[in-house]
Amino acid sequence: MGLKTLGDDGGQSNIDFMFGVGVFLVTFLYVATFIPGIFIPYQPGAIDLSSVVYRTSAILAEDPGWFSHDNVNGTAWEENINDLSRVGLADDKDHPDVLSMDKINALNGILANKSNYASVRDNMGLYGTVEYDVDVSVKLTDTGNELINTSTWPSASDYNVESIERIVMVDKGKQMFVDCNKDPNPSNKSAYFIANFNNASTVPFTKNITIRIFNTTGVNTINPGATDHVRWSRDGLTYIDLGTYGVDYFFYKNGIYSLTEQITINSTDIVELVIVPSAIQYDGMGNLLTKYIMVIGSGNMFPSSALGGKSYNYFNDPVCPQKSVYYPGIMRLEVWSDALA
Amino acid sequence: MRLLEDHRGQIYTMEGIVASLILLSVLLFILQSNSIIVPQTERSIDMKLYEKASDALICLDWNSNESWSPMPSLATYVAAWDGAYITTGTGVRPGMATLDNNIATMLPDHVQYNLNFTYFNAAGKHDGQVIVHGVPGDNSVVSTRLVTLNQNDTVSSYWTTNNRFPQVVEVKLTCWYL
Repeated sequence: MGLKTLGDDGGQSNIDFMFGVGVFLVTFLYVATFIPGIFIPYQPGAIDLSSVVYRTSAILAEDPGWFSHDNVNGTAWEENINDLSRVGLADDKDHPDVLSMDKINALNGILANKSNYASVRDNMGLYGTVEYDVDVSVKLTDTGNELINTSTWPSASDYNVESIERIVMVDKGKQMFVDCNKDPNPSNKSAYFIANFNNASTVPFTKNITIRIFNTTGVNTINPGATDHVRWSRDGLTYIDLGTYGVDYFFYKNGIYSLTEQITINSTDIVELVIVPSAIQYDGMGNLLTKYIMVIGSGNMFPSSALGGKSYNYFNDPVCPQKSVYYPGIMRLEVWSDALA
Repeated sequence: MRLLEDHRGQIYTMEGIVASLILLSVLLFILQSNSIIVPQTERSIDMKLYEKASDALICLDWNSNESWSPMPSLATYVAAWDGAYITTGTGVRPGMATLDNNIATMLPDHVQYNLNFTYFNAAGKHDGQVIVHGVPGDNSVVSTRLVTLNQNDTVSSYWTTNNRFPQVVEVKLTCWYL
Protein backbone atom coordinates (compact mmCIF):
# COMPACT_ATOMS: atom_id res chain seq x y z
CA MET A 1 0.00 0.00 0.00
CA GLY A 2 2.43 2.62 -1.16
CA LEU A 3 1.14 6.09 -2.15
CA LYS A 4 3.69 6.64 -4.86
CA THR A 5 2.17 9.68 -6.62
CA LEU A 6 3.74 12.37 -4.45
CA GLY A 7 7.15 11.04 -5.11
CA ASP A 8 6.60 10.39 -8.82
CA ASP A 9 8.12 13.10 -11.05
CA GLY A 10 7.04 11.31 -14.22
CA GLY A 11 3.43 12.76 -14.17
CA GLN A 12 2.44 15.99 -15.90
CA SER A 13 3.21 18.98 -13.64
CA ASN A 14 0.83 21.95 -13.25
CA ILE A 15 3.31 24.43 -14.76
CA ASP A 16 3.71 22.24 -17.82
CA PHE A 17 -0.01 22.01 -18.28
CA MET A 18 -0.65 25.72 -17.85
CA PHE A 19 2.11 26.58 -20.29
CA GLY A 20 0.77 24.14 -22.86
CA VAL A 21 -2.77 25.46 -22.65
CA GLY A 22 -1.44 29.03 -22.74
CA VAL A 23 0.48 28.42 -25.96
CA PHE A 24 -2.54 26.69 -27.43
CA LEU A 25 -4.89 29.56 -26.54
CA VAL A 26 -2.59 32.22 -27.96
CA THR A 27 -2.23 30.27 -31.20
CA PHE A 28 -5.92 29.58 -31.40
CA LEU A 29 -6.93 33.21 -30.79
CA TYR A 30 -4.32 34.38 -33.30
CA VAL A 31 -5.62 32.07 -35.99
CA ALA A 32 -9.24 32.86 -35.18
CA THR A 33 -8.68 36.63 -35.34
CA PHE A 34 -6.45 36.83 -38.36
CA ILE A 35 -8.14 34.40 -40.67
CA PRO A 36 -11.45 36.11 -41.39
CA GLY A 37 -14.36 33.88 -42.05
CA ILE A 38 -12.92 30.74 -40.45
CA PHE A 39 -15.98 30.33 -38.26
CA ILE A 40 -18.53 31.95 -40.53
CA PRO A 41 -20.20 28.65 -41.44
CA TYR A 42 -20.97 28.24 -37.73
CA GLN A 43 -22.65 31.65 -37.44
CA PRO A 44 -26.38 31.19 -37.16
CA GLY A 45 -27.40 34.00 -39.52
CA ALA A 46 -26.50 37.51 -38.39
CA ILE A 47 -24.52 38.08 -41.56
CA ASP A 48 -27.29 36.82 -43.73
CA LEU A 49 -29.79 39.16 -42.03
CA SER A 50 -27.76 42.31 -42.63
CA SER A 51 -28.04 41.93 -46.39
CA VAL A 52 -31.73 41.10 -46.11
CA VAL A 53 -32.46 44.19 -44.00
CA TYR A 54 -30.55 46.39 -46.43
CA ARG A 55 -32.38 44.93 -49.40
CA THR A 56 -35.76 45.44 -47.75
CA SER A 57 -34.92 49.03 -46.80
CA ALA A 58 -33.89 49.73 -50.39
CA ILE A 59 -37.17 48.30 -51.70
CA LEU A 60 -39.20 50.41 -49.28
CA ALA A 61 -37.26 53.68 -49.52
CA GLU A 62 -36.21 53.72 -53.17
CA ASP A 63 -38.96 51.87 -55.00
CA PRO A 64 -42.55 53.05 -55.58
CA GLY A 65 -43.91 49.49 -55.56
CA TRP A 66 -46.07 47.78 -58.17
CA PHE A 67 -49.58 46.51 -58.70
CA SER A 68 -50.66 44.12 -61.38
CA HIS A 69 -54.08 42.93 -62.46
CA ASP A 70 -54.62 41.29 -65.83
CA ASN A 71 -53.21 43.82 -68.28
CA VAL A 72 -53.36 46.77 -65.91
CA ASN A 73 -50.26 47.52 -63.89
CA GLY A 74 -48.26 50.41 -62.54
CA THR A 75 -46.77 51.93 -59.43
CA ALA A 76 -49.97 53.39 -57.94
CA TRP A 77 -50.62 50.37 -55.72
CA GLU A 78 -52.05 52.64 -53.01
CA GLU A 79 -55.10 53.07 -55.26
CA ASN A 80 -55.24 49.36 -56.18
CA ILE A 81 -54.48 47.64 -52.90
CA ASN A 82 -56.19 44.40 -53.91
CA ASP A 83 -53.73 43.96 -56.78
CA LEU A 84 -50.61 44.77 -54.75
CA SER A 85 -47.62 42.84 -56.00
CA ARG A 86 -44.68 44.75 -54.47
CA VAL A 87 -44.65 47.12 -51.51
CA GLY A 88 -42.63 50.29 -52.04
CA LEU A 89 -43.06 53.62 -50.28
CA ALA A 90 -41.08 55.98 -52.56
CA ASP A 91 -42.87 58.65 -54.59
CA ASP A 92 -41.26 57.42 -57.80
CA LYS A 93 -38.02 55.98 -59.16
CA ASP A 94 -36.53 59.43 -59.72
CA HIS A 95 -36.89 60.48 -56.10
CA PRO A 96 -35.29 57.86 -53.85
CA ASP A 97 -35.69 58.43 -50.12
CA VAL A 98 -38.84 60.52 -50.66
CA LEU A 99 -41.68 58.51 -49.13
CA SER A 100 -45.25 59.08 -50.22
CA MET A 101 -47.67 59.75 -47.36
CA ASP A 102 -50.45 58.24 -49.52
CA LYS A 103 -48.53 54.96 -49.74
CA ILE A 104 -47.80 54.98 -46.00
CA ASN A 105 -51.50 55.49 -45.31
CA ALA A 106 -52.39 52.72 -47.76
CA LEU A 107 -49.98 50.35 -46.01
CA ASN A 108 -51.57 51.21 -42.65
CA GLY A 109 -54.97 50.59 -44.24
CA ILE A 110 -54.00 47.14 -45.53
CA LEU A 111 -52.52 46.16 -42.17
CA ALA A 112 -55.56 47.37 -40.24
CA ASN A 113 -56.55 43.76 -40.83
CA LYS A 114 -53.69 41.92 -39.13
CA SER A 115 -54.18 38.78 -41.22
CA ASN A 116 -52.80 40.73 -44.20
CA TYR A 117 -49.36 40.87 -42.59
CA ALA A 118 -48.14 37.66 -44.24
CA SER A 119 -49.00 38.85 -47.74
CA VAL A 120 -47.46 42.29 -47.12
CA ARG A 121 -44.27 40.62 -45.93
CA ASP A 122 -44.25 38.35 -48.98
CA ASN A 123 -44.65 41.42 -51.18
CA MET A 124 -41.49 42.88 -49.63
CA GLY A 125 -39.58 39.84 -50.91
CA LEU A 126 -39.14 38.32 -47.46
CA TYR A 127 -40.50 34.88 -48.20
CA GLY A 128 -38.26 32.57 -50.16
CA THR A 129 -36.22 29.63 -48.98
CA VAL A 130 -36.18 31.28 -45.56
CA GLU A 131 -39.19 32.99 -44.03
CA TYR A 132 -38.33 36.33 -42.44
CA ASP A 133 -40.33 38.66 -40.24
CA VAL A 134 -40.20 42.43 -40.41
CA ASP A 135 -41.40 45.54 -38.68
CA VAL A 136 -41.28 49.07 -40.02
CA SER A 137 -41.39 52.47 -38.39
CA VAL A 138 -41.34 55.93 -39.98
CA LYS A 139 -40.88 58.83 -37.58
CA LEU A 140 -40.87 62.53 -38.41
CA THR A 141 -37.71 64.18 -37.12
CA ASP A 142 -39.23 67.49 -36.02
CA THR A 143 -42.35 66.29 -34.17
CA GLY A 144 -41.35 62.67 -33.45
CA ASN A 145 -44.73 61.54 -34.81
CA GLU A 146 -44.89 57.88 -35.78
CA LEU A 147 -46.55 57.53 -39.19
CA ILE A 148 -46.78 53.74 -39.30
CA ASN A 149 -49.38 52.04 -37.13
CA THR A 150 -46.73 49.90 -35.42
CA SER A 151 -49.24 47.94 -33.35
CA THR A 152 -50.26 46.02 -36.48
CA TRP A 153 -46.69 44.74 -37.05
CA PRO A 154 -45.17 41.87 -35.07
CA SER A 155 -42.65 42.83 -32.41
CA ALA A 156 -39.09 41.76 -32.97
CA SER A 157 -37.87 38.53 -31.44
CA ASP A 158 -35.44 38.75 -28.54
CA TYR A 159 -32.41 37.40 -30.37
CA ASN A 160 -30.69 37.82 -33.68
CA VAL A 161 -32.52 40.89 -34.95
CA GLU A 162 -30.88 43.01 -37.61
CA SER A 163 -31.98 46.63 -38.02
CA ILE A 164 -31.24 49.52 -40.34
CA GLU A 165 -32.20 53.18 -40.30
CA ARG A 166 -32.74 55.17 -43.47
CA ILE A 167 -32.95 58.95 -43.51
CA VAL A 168 -35.98 59.90 -45.59
CA MET A 169 -38.24 62.77 -46.57
CA VAL A 170 -41.97 62.23 -46.19
CA ASP A 171 -44.02 63.73 -49.02
CA LYS A 172 -47.26 64.93 -47.44
CA GLY A 173 -48.79 65.69 -50.82
CA LYS A 174 -49.23 68.68 -53.08
CA GLN A 175 -50.40 72.03 -51.79
CA MET A 176 -51.25 75.31 -53.49
CA PHE A 177 -48.69 77.84 -52.23
CA VAL A 178 -50.19 81.29 -51.60
CA ASP A 179 -47.31 83.62 -50.80
CA CYS A 180 -49.02 86.73 -49.38
CA ASN A 181 -45.87 88.77 -49.94
CA LYS A 182 -45.44 87.75 -53.57
CA ASP A 183 -46.69 91.14 -54.64
CA PRO A 184 -45.77 93.50 -51.81
CA ASN A 185 -47.52 96.51 -53.37
CA PRO A 186 -50.40 97.18 -50.94
CA SER A 187 -52.61 98.75 -53.59
CA ASN A 188 -52.77 95.41 -55.33
CA LYS A 189 -53.90 93.49 -52.31
CA SER A 190 -57.27 92.21 -51.37
CA ALA A 191 -59.05 90.71 -48.39
CA TYR A 192 -59.89 87.52 -50.20
CA PHE A 193 -58.29 84.81 -52.25
CA ILE A 194 -59.88 82.66 -54.96
CA ALA A 195 -58.65 79.30 -56.19
CA ASN A 196 -60.31 77.98 -59.34
CA PHE A 197 -60.66 74.46 -60.69
CA ASN A 198 -61.27 75.43 -64.30
CA ASN A 199 -58.64 72.99 -65.52
CA ALA A 200 -60.04 70.12 -63.50
CA SER A 201 -61.09 67.03 -65.32
CA THR A 202 -64.51 65.60 -64.51
CA VAL A 203 -62.87 62.82 -62.54
CA PRO A 204 -63.89 63.31 -58.90
CA PHE A 205 -61.30 64.65 -56.49
CA THR A 206 -59.92 61.76 -54.48
CA LYS A 207 -57.41 63.67 -52.38
CA ASN A 208 -57.71 66.58 -49.99
CA ILE A 209 -57.34 70.02 -51.51
CA THR A 210 -54.81 72.03 -49.51
CA ILE A 211 -54.24 75.76 -49.81
CA ARG A 212 -51.19 76.99 -47.92
CA ILE A 213 -51.21 80.63 -46.85
CA PHE A 214 -47.98 82.19 -45.53
CA ASN A 215 -45.69 85.21 -45.55
CA THR A 216 -48.36 87.77 -44.63
CA THR A 217 -47.52 91.39 -43.97
CA GLY A 218 -48.30 92.17 -40.33
CA VAL A 219 -50.89 90.34 -38.26
CA ASN A 220 -54.05 89.26 -40.09
CA THR A 221 -57.05 87.07 -39.49
CA ILE A 222 -58.24 84.37 -41.84
CA ASN A 223 -61.96 83.70 -41.65
CA PRO A 224 -62.50 86.90 -39.58
CA GLY A 225 -66.24 86.40 -39.08
CA ALA A 226 -65.60 82.78 -38.07
CA THR A 227 -68.53 81.66 -40.17
CA ASP A 228 -69.35 81.59 -43.86
CA HIS A 229 -65.91 82.91 -44.83
CA VAL A 230 -64.79 79.91 -46.86
CA ARG A 231 -67.19 79.81 -49.81
CA TRP A 232 -67.63 78.11 -53.15
CA SER A 233 -69.08 79.15 -56.45
CA ARG A 234 -69.95 77.55 -59.80
CA ASP A 235 -69.58 80.73 -61.86
CA GLY A 236 -67.23 83.01 -59.90
CA LEU A 237 -70.06 85.50 -59.31
CA THR A 238 -72.30 84.04 -56.62
CA TYR A 239 -70.57 82.49 -53.62
CA ILE A 240 -72.16 80.35 -50.93
CA ASP A 241 -70.95 78.78 -47.69
CA LEU A 242 -68.67 75.78 -48.27
CA GLY A 243 -70.01 73.76 -45.39
CA THR A 244 -69.26 72.90 -41.79
CA TYR A 245 -65.90 73.54 -40.19
CA GLY A 246 -64.35 70.28 -38.97
CA VAL A 247 -66.37 68.24 -41.49
CA ASP A 248 -65.94 69.81 -44.91
CA TYR A 249 -62.83 71.85 -44.28
CA PHE A 250 -60.11 72.30 -41.65
CA PHE A 251 -57.39 74.75 -40.77
CA TYR A 252 -53.92 73.79 -39.62
CA LYS A 253 -51.76 76.52 -38.14
CA ASN A 254 -48.04 75.64 -38.27
CA GLY A 255 -49.04 72.00 -38.70
CA ILE A 256 -51.36 71.89 -35.67
CA TYR A 257 -55.09 71.35 -36.14
CA SER A 258 -57.07 74.45 -35.22
CA LEU A 259 -60.16 73.97 -33.06
CA THR A 260 -61.59 77.25 -34.24
CA GLU A 261 -62.15 78.39 -37.79
CA GLN A 262 -60.93 81.90 -37.03
CA ILE A 263 -57.17 82.09 -37.28
CA THR A 264 -54.71 84.90 -36.67
CA ILE A 265 -51.63 84.71 -38.84
CA ASN A 266 -48.41 86.73 -38.75
CA SER A 267 -45.46 86.79 -41.12
CA THR A 268 -43.84 83.63 -39.70
CA ASP A 269 -47.01 81.54 -39.45
CA ILE A 270 -48.13 78.98 -42.02
CA VAL A 271 -51.84 78.25 -42.30
CA GLU A 272 -53.09 75.28 -44.31
CA LEU A 273 -56.72 75.20 -45.43
CA VAL A 274 -57.69 71.59 -46.11
CA ILE A 275 -60.90 70.87 -48.05
CA VAL A 276 -62.05 67.27 -48.08
CA PRO A 277 -63.05 65.73 -51.45
CA SER A 278 -66.66 65.20 -50.33
CA ALA A 279 -67.12 68.97 -49.96
CA ILE A 280 -66.68 69.37 -53.72
CA GLN A 281 -70.00 69.40 -55.60
CA TYR A 282 -70.84 67.55 -58.81
CA ASP A 283 -73.94 67.53 -60.99
CA GLY A 284 -75.87 64.37 -61.84
CA MET A 285 -73.60 63.73 -64.83
CA GLY A 286 -70.43 63.75 -62.74
CA ASN A 287 -69.37 67.19 -63.96
CA LEU A 288 -67.65 69.46 -61.52
CA LEU A 289 -69.89 72.17 -60.04
CA THR A 290 -67.41 73.64 -57.54
CA LYS A 291 -65.35 75.80 -59.85
CA TYR A 292 -64.15 78.40 -57.34
CA ILE A 293 -63.15 78.43 -53.68
CA MET A 294 -62.96 81.79 -51.90
CA VAL A 295 -61.07 82.39 -48.64
CA ILE A 296 -61.72 85.68 -46.87
CA GLY A 297 -59.17 87.34 -44.62
CA SER A 298 -58.97 90.64 -42.81
CA GLY A 299 -57.65 93.82 -44.44
CA ASN A 300 -55.34 93.54 -47.43
CA MET A 301 -53.61 90.25 -46.89
CA PHE A 302 -53.65 88.44 -50.24
CA PRO A 303 -51.70 89.15 -53.44
CA SER A 304 -53.43 90.90 -56.31
CA SER A 305 -56.81 89.20 -56.34
CA ALA A 306 -58.64 91.91 -58.22
CA LEU A 307 -62.38 92.31 -57.73
CA GLY A 308 -63.09 91.53 -61.35
CA GLY A 309 -63.22 87.83 -60.67
CA LYS A 310 -59.48 87.27 -61.06
CA SER A 311 -58.55 83.99 -59.51
CA TYR A 312 -55.61 81.64 -59.30
CA ASN A 313 -55.59 78.27 -60.96
CA TYR A 314 -55.39 75.58 -58.33
CA PHE A 315 -53.52 73.18 -60.58
CA ASN A 316 -50.74 75.11 -62.24
CA ASP A 317 -50.56 78.80 -61.48
CA PRO A 318 -47.23 80.61 -61.95
CA VAL A 319 -48.03 82.96 -59.03
CA CYS A 320 -49.43 80.30 -56.67
CA PRO A 321 -47.73 77.06 -57.76
CA GLN A 322 -48.46 73.60 -56.45
CA LYS A 323 -45.56 72.12 -54.55
CA SER A 324 -44.99 68.89 -52.71
CA VAL A 325 -44.40 69.35 -49.01
CA TYR A 326 -41.54 67.27 -47.59
CA TYR A 327 -40.82 66.65 -43.92
CA PRO A 328 -37.59 64.97 -42.80
CA GLY A 329 -37.97 61.65 -41.05
CA ILE A 330 -36.28 58.38 -40.20
CA MET A 331 -37.41 54.99 -41.43
CA ARG A 332 -36.38 52.12 -39.18
CA LEU A 333 -36.57 48.50 -40.20
CA GLU A 334 -36.08 45.35 -38.16
CA VAL A 335 -35.74 41.93 -39.76
CA TRP A 336 -35.44 38.58 -38.05
CA SER A 337 -36.22 34.98 -38.76
CA ASP A 338 -37.37 32.24 -36.48
CA ALA A 339 -35.86 29.76 -38.94
CA LEU A 340 -32.38 31.09 -38.12
CA ALA A 341 -32.85 31.31 -34.36
CA MET B 1 -6.32 -5.65 -6.11
CA ARG B 2 -3.64 -3.16 -7.00
CA LEU B 3 -5.98 -0.96 -9.08
CA LEU B 4 -7.85 0.33 -6.05
CA GLU B 5 -4.68 1.36 -4.38
CA ASP B 6 -3.21 3.10 -7.41
CA HIS B 7 -4.29 6.76 -7.34
CA ARG B 8 -2.11 7.80 -10.25
CA GLY B 9 -4.52 6.70 -12.95
CA GLN B 10 -7.40 8.64 -11.43
CA ILE B 11 -5.45 11.92 -11.33
CA TYR B 12 -4.56 11.56 -15.00
CA THR B 13 -8.28 11.09 -15.75
CA MET B 14 -9.31 14.18 -13.75
CA GLU B 15 -6.60 16.21 -15.45
CA GLY B 16 -7.91 15.07 -18.80
CA ILE B 17 -11.48 16.02 -17.93
CA VAL B 18 -10.45 19.44 -16.61
CA ALA B 19 -8.32 20.09 -19.70
CA SER B 20 -11.14 19.13 -22.04
CA LEU B 21 -13.57 21.31 -20.07
CA ILE B 22 -11.24 24.30 -20.37
CA LEU B 23 -10.78 23.62 -24.06
CA LEU B 24 -14.50 23.36 -24.66
CA SER B 25 -15.32 26.51 -22.70
CA VAL B 26 -12.63 28.43 -24.62
CA LEU B 27 -14.08 27.23 -27.91
CA LEU B 28 -17.56 28.15 -26.78
CA PHE B 29 -16.42 31.57 -25.59
CA ILE B 30 -14.70 32.31 -28.88
CA LEU B 31 -17.60 31.12 -31.01
CA GLN B 32 -20.05 33.23 -29.01
CA SER B 33 -17.96 36.38 -28.96
CA ASN B 34 -18.16 39.07 -31.61
CA SER B 35 -14.43 39.05 -32.25
CA ILE B 36 -14.87 36.21 -34.72
CA ILE B 37 -17.21 38.04 -37.06
CA VAL B 38 -15.32 41.34 -36.93
CA PRO B 39 -14.43 41.48 -40.63
CA GLN B 40 -18.02 40.93 -41.79
CA THR B 41 -19.71 42.93 -39.05
CA GLU B 42 -17.47 45.86 -39.75
CA ARG B 43 -18.35 45.80 -43.42
CA SER B 44 -22.02 45.77 -42.55
CA ILE B 45 -21.61 48.66 -40.10
CA ASP B 46 -19.64 50.64 -42.68
CA MET B 47 -22.38 49.95 -45.21
CA LYS B 48 -25.00 51.33 -42.83
CA LEU B 49 -22.95 54.48 -42.19
CA TYR B 50 -22.42 54.98 -45.92
CA GLU B 51 -26.14 54.53 -46.47
CA LYS B 52 -26.86 57.22 -43.86
CA ALA B 53 -24.35 59.65 -45.35
CA SER B 54 -25.77 59.08 -48.81
CA ASP B 55 -29.37 59.37 -47.57
CA ALA B 56 -28.57 62.63 -45.77
CA LEU B 57 -27.26 64.30 -48.93
CA ILE B 58 -30.10 62.92 -51.09
CA CYS B 59 -32.69 64.21 -48.60
CA LEU B 60 -31.07 67.66 -48.49
CA ASP B 61 -30.88 67.89 -52.28
CA TRP B 62 -34.54 68.55 -53.05
CA ASN B 63 -35.78 70.73 -55.89
CA SER B 64 -37.25 74.00 -54.66
CA ASN B 65 -39.23 74.52 -57.86
CA GLU B 66 -41.52 71.58 -57.26
CA SER B 67 -41.32 71.03 -53.53
CA TRP B 68 -41.03 72.67 -50.15
CA SER B 69 -39.51 71.50 -46.88
CA PRO B 70 -38.83 73.09 -43.48
CA MET B 71 -35.22 72.00 -44.11
CA PRO B 72 -33.59 74.32 -46.70
CA SER B 73 -32.17 72.56 -49.75
CA LEU B 74 -28.46 71.96 -50.33
CA ALA B 75 -28.51 74.27 -53.36
CA THR B 76 -29.54 77.29 -51.25
CA TYR B 77 -26.45 76.86 -49.05
CA VAL B 78 -24.12 76.36 -52.00
CA ALA B 79 -25.62 79.42 -53.72
CA ALA B 80 -25.24 81.59 -50.61
CA TRP B 81 -21.69 80.43 -49.86
CA ASP B 82 -19.06 83.19 -49.58
CA GLY B 83 -16.29 81.12 -51.20
CA ALA B 84 -14.15 80.82 -48.06
CA TYR B 85 -12.97 77.55 -46.50
CA ILE B 86 -12.09 76.58 -42.96
CA THR B 87 -8.32 76.22 -43.05
CA THR B 88 -7.41 75.55 -39.43
CA GLY B 89 -9.11 73.67 -36.62
CA THR B 90 -12.78 72.83 -36.38
CA GLY B 91 -15.69 75.12 -37.13
CA VAL B 92 -18.63 76.00 -39.32
CA ARG B 93 -18.57 78.68 -42.02
CA PRO B 94 -20.98 81.59 -41.41
CA GLY B 95 -24.33 80.85 -43.02
CA MET B 96 -23.86 77.08 -42.72
CA ALA B 97 -25.08 76.81 -39.11
CA THR B 98 -28.58 75.65 -40.08
CA LEU B 99 -27.13 73.13 -42.55
CA ASP B 100 -24.79 71.86 -39.83
CA ASN B 101 -27.74 71.53 -37.49
CA ASN B 102 -29.83 69.70 -40.11
CA ILE B 103 -27.07 67.19 -40.88
CA ALA B 104 -26.46 66.64 -37.15
CA THR B 105 -30.18 65.92 -36.66
CA MET B 106 -30.23 63.38 -39.49
CA LEU B 107 -27.09 61.46 -38.49
CA PRO B 108 -26.92 59.43 -35.26
CA ASP B 109 -25.38 61.03 -32.17
CA HIS B 110 -22.20 58.98 -32.26
CA VAL B 111 -21.35 59.96 -35.84
CA GLN B 112 -19.16 62.96 -36.68
CA TYR B 113 -18.77 64.53 -40.08
CA ASN B 114 -17.02 67.08 -42.29
CA LEU B 115 -18.43 68.80 -45.35
CA ASN B 116 -16.38 69.78 -48.42
CA PHE B 117 -17.21 71.97 -51.40
CA THR B 118 -15.20 71.33 -54.57
CA TYR B 119 -15.44 73.21 -57.87
CA PHE B 120 -13.38 74.31 -60.87
CA ASN B 121 -12.94 77.81 -62.20
CA ALA B 122 -10.37 79.63 -64.35
CA ALA B 123 -7.81 79.36 -61.53
CA GLY B 124 -8.20 75.59 -61.40
CA LYS B 125 -9.57 73.23 -58.78
CA HIS B 126 -10.77 74.50 -55.44
CA ASP B 127 -11.31 72.01 -52.68
CA GLY B 128 -11.84 72.70 -49.01
CA GLN B 129 -13.95 72.18 -45.95
CA VAL B 130 -16.90 74.36 -44.96
CA ILE B 131 -17.97 72.32 -41.91
CA VAL B 132 -15.23 70.68 -39.82
CA HIS B 133 -15.87 68.59 -36.72
CA GLY B 134 -12.51 66.85 -36.51
CA VAL B 135 -10.08 64.55 -38.26
CA PRO B 136 -11.82 61.60 -39.95
CA GLY B 137 -11.08 58.21 -38.40
CA ASP B 138 -9.78 55.09 -40.14
CA ASN B 139 -13.16 53.73 -41.19
CA SER B 140 -14.63 56.93 -42.59
CA VAL B 141 -17.14 56.85 -45.42
CA VAL B 142 -17.64 59.48 -48.10
CA SER B 143 -20.75 60.40 -50.02
CA THR B 144 -21.01 63.06 -52.70
CA ARG B 145 -23.69 65.03 -54.50
CA LEU B 146 -23.36 67.45 -57.42
CA VAL B 147 -25.14 70.81 -57.19
CA THR B 148 -25.49 73.02 -60.27
CA LEU B 149 -25.82 76.79 -60.00
CA ASN B 150 -27.39 78.55 -62.97
CA GLN B 151 -27.17 82.16 -64.05
CA ASN B 152 -30.73 82.97 -63.04
CA ASP B 153 -30.44 81.48 -59.56
CA THR B 154 -30.15 83.77 -56.57
CA VAL B 155 -26.45 83.41 -55.79
CA SER B 156 -23.97 85.19 -53.54
CA SER B 157 -21.68 87.92 -54.83
CA TYR B 158 -18.85 85.37 -54.75
CA TRP B 159 -20.48 83.27 -57.46
CA THR B 160 -21.44 86.39 -59.42
CA THR B 161 -17.82 87.49 -59.46
CA ASN B 162 -16.69 83.97 -60.27
CA ASN B 163 -19.13 84.12 -63.22
CA ARG B 164 -18.79 80.64 -64.69
CA PHE B 165 -22.37 79.47 -65.13
CA PRO B 166 -23.53 76.79 -65.04
CA GLN B 167 -21.22 76.18 -62.10
CA VAL B 168 -21.10 72.62 -60.83
CA VAL B 169 -20.12 72.20 -57.18
CA GLU B 170 -19.38 68.83 -55.63
CA VAL B 171 -20.63 68.53 -52.07
CA LYS B 172 -18.78 65.83 -50.14
CA LEU B 173 -19.89 64.50 -46.78
CA THR B 174 -17.31 62.53 -44.80
CA CYS B 175 -18.68 60.56 -41.83
CA TRP B 176 -17.05 58.45 -39.17
CA TYR B 177 -17.99 56.77 -35.91
CA LEU B 178 -16.67 58.36 -32.75
